[in-house]
Amino acid sequence: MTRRLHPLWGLQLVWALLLAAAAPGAAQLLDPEAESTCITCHEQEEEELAVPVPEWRESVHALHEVSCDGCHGGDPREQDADLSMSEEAGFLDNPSWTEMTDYCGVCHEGIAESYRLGYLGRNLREGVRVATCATCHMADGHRIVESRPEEILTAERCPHCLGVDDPQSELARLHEVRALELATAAQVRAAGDKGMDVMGLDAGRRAAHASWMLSVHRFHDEFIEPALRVARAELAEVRSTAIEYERRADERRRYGAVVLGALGMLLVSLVLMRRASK
Amino acid sequence: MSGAAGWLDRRTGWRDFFRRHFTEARLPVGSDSWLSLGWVLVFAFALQIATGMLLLLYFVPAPEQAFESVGRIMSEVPYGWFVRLIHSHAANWMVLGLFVHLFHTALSGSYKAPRELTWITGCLLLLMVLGMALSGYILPWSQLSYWATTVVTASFRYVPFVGQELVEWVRGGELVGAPTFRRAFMAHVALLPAGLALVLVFHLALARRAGPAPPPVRGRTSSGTAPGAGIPFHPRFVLKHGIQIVLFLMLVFATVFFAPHLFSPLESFLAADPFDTPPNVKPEWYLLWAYQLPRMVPERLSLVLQGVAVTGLFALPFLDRGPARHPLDRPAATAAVLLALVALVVLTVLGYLA
Repeated sequence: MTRRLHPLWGLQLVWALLLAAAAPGAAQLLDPEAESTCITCHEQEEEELAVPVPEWRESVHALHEVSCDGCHGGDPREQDADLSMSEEAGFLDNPSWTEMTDYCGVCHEGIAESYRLGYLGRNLREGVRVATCATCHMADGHRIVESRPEEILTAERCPHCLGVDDPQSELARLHEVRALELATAAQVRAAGDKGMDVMGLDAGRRAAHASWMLSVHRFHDEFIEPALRVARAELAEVRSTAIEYERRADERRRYGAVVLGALGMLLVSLVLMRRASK
Repeated sequence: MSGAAGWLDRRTGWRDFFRRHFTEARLPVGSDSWLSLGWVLVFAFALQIATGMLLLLYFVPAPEQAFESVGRIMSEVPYGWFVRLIHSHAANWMVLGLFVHLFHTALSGSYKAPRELTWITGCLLLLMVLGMALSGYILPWSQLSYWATTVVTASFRYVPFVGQELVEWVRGGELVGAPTFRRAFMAHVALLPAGLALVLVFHLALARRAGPAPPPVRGRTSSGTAPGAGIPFHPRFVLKHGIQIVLFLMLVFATVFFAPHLFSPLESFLAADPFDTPPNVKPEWYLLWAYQLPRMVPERLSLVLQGVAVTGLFALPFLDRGPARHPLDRPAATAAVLLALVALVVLTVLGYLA
């Protein structure tokens, strides 16, 4: 038996070896956090300056990759602290309570506008020291969580500041709509987990949430009650569609079990026929 | 012989054809179940054509309406979800089956004389099926379609001398848009299926002419079987192929019914938005190796490596020309094929994790 080895084999071997040699490089992925000098420096500071870092890591801002410079400005790639937090680098520092709405409103434009048009915004313009974004949303420091009214709007936290006649019953109504929203989200998730395309439903739920959140930030009876009424109707519709989706998903699975069972029986028959033909 | 069948037979000779290729055909002694994989793939192709034609009844081939029409197929058209999921899941399993078929043929040395052309047409079929998969990918016009196509077409710019022109030719403009969609649609429903069917017929005719390669035996160089010898094709192999086709269908239906999102990342449920780049856009799993390679070596080098790999794939029968077929009798060829397999798997896994 003779074996001839063509010279092109060498080329193929080089290709394979190059691939193998390059493989470990893939493990060296860049850590986005490591690139921010705000984080690397502040972590080494004293408690008050260091504490925002672990808090931020648990926040919705970290989840959406909005780092320190997203709110405070500055240059997170500059190694020198003075230059990094200089005016030239666009550093904004912490806002005063009167500036807060404009500061957060750079990103949260709709909510800020709603606030300005509402009860608290009007009072703020008149120089009354009212609650601003940080009063409610930064009660736990930089650990700013996703919009969760059930945690933010509590009887203990806001007994006086709402521009409504009966703050406690208003809170109860908000919590009732929020409970409906959470139940709807769970129902949409359940349908999605069973393989249904729920992006449209989820978008509907988010739209309803955004809509009533905007109105709620006006902090006035005139806006809150109609917004809650619309939200209840929208969420109820999304929820009933999600329930229908889940029912369809269960039905599909039952069909699937029947189809697979039939194919299994066909398979067994073919195997038996093949054995008989030997 | 009388009646319509007889009339047809006198003009076409179908009975004789059927007898020679099915009822009286014989396969080499020792032929194993691997032989059936090719027939499973032919079945999968037929399934794609059938489900594809059904989808064409409701799919609107225009970028402004494509995403919405797919949504309608999934939620409003009776059993539309079922047909579409079979089309998409069977395509993925078919690509996996093609890779298994390719590596089995390579490791068993079945590409050797007189089957070089069968191997080459098989490689051509693999590339065409990948082209089918890629062109089908863009048609739902989702975020995934748009951005994965942007990434894949952008890689053509590394082709020497004509790179940028090639990118614009494929896209039909500087950016992925309506002309790209029309090109993909034409390729997916006309050019590639016609080409695939043609090459497939040629591939099957070549495979039939040379006969299936018997399983390799250590120290022996047999590459064929004597006419009249061997196991009858019918009913033994008809049943064997039937069993594997049923197993393939069970696999497809199991994922369609119980893991419908297996091949659909989140971005495939969002309409294409040229102004919103989603993070971590990746191509489908069967192209992850090509996606990962340029991330690990300079992009031009990765293009050279891919060129070498594809050339080596087609040229395999002319590189490994010895008569031995058993993997242990040709260690260099076996090692190269195994290395390529490991590289493919490692790159795919790294691409998935990246």
